[in-house]
Amino acid sequence: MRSALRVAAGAVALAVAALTAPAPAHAEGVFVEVNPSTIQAGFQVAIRASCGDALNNAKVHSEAFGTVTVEPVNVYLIAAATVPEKKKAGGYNVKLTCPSRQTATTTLWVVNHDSPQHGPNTGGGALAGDGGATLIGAGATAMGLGLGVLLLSRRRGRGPLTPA
Amino acid sequence: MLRRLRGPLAVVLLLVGMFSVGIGLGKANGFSFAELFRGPGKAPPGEFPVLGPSRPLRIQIPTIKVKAYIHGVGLDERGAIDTPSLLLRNEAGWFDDGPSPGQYGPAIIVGHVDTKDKPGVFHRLDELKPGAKIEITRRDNRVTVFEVNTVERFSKQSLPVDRIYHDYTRPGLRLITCGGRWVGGELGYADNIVVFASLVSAHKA
Repeated sequence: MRSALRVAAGAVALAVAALTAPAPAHAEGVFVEVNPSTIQAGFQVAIRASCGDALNNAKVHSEAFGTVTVEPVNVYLIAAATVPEKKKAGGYNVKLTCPSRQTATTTLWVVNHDSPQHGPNTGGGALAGDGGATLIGAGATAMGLGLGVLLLSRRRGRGPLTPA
Repeated sequence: MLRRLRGPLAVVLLLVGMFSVGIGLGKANGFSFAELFRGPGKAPPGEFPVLGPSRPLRIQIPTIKVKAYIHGVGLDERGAIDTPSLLLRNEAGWFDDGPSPGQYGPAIIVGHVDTKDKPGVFHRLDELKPGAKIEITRRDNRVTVFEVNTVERFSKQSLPVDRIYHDYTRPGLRLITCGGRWVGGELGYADNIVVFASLVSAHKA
């Protein structure tokens, strides 16, 4: 009974480990990541890093946003950085320098374009039709005919020669 | 014989006429049957791959039989995304100042609904349903698979710019074409059909 329980507990622990494994896969080592890894100039990215531990502040530098200090929050070193609006589009190196002099790098992709304000002109008009004019016209004609027939048969129906 | 048929004939004519006028009025005001049967949107996935930049080369949408080449486009003088030449009937344009399909952010691909005399590459875009798959082959020989979240229609004058162009929370895709009423002139069609899609997977071509 007890061993069965132990096996069950082991299975649960394994399952939990399997579920949580992907996230801190590189938490053992020294790493830095930016999220999102692609950003429009003028907007903010989140930086998450680790120096093997997350006990002391560290520096993260990039041409894209300058130098920021990442600070320990729970198990990671965290900071936010804003990419200036004028920053040219391209890939920028992001480098973490730990107090121990260990480093890690990643890439931040910056896109920079004027936001399109109008929709694109994606039509030549071949499928445009006439905006329903034919349908309305034909429909009105059919209704007129129908009414006409109805009235006609009413009048005939009242005539003296028609048997009741 | 003819006399006996008169009553039913009148009723049928009246009904058909009313129906036809109704559809005509609907058309005149931009009503579309495809929108009526589209169903609710599909939420984007919680987990997704993220890729680096690489130009998209081809787009495939099996459910509406799209199989086309993609080339880069920029902004035109009005500040709208430029479109492929009307002569390149089976080509779509990728806004090459924006993210690639697979990067964080919205990859924007525009295509004509029609040319001056023929249906265009995206003429069945408004028939797409949430959940449909869109495959885009990139120059790095990877295929990114997107899933449709919603298909929506907006007036060209009042596009929800943030939703279409500024969502960097996940790798996304926006397919844009024309729809709604034909007004001609500078504008062409009054509306844009926008397909919102999210990356679900990526694999080697």
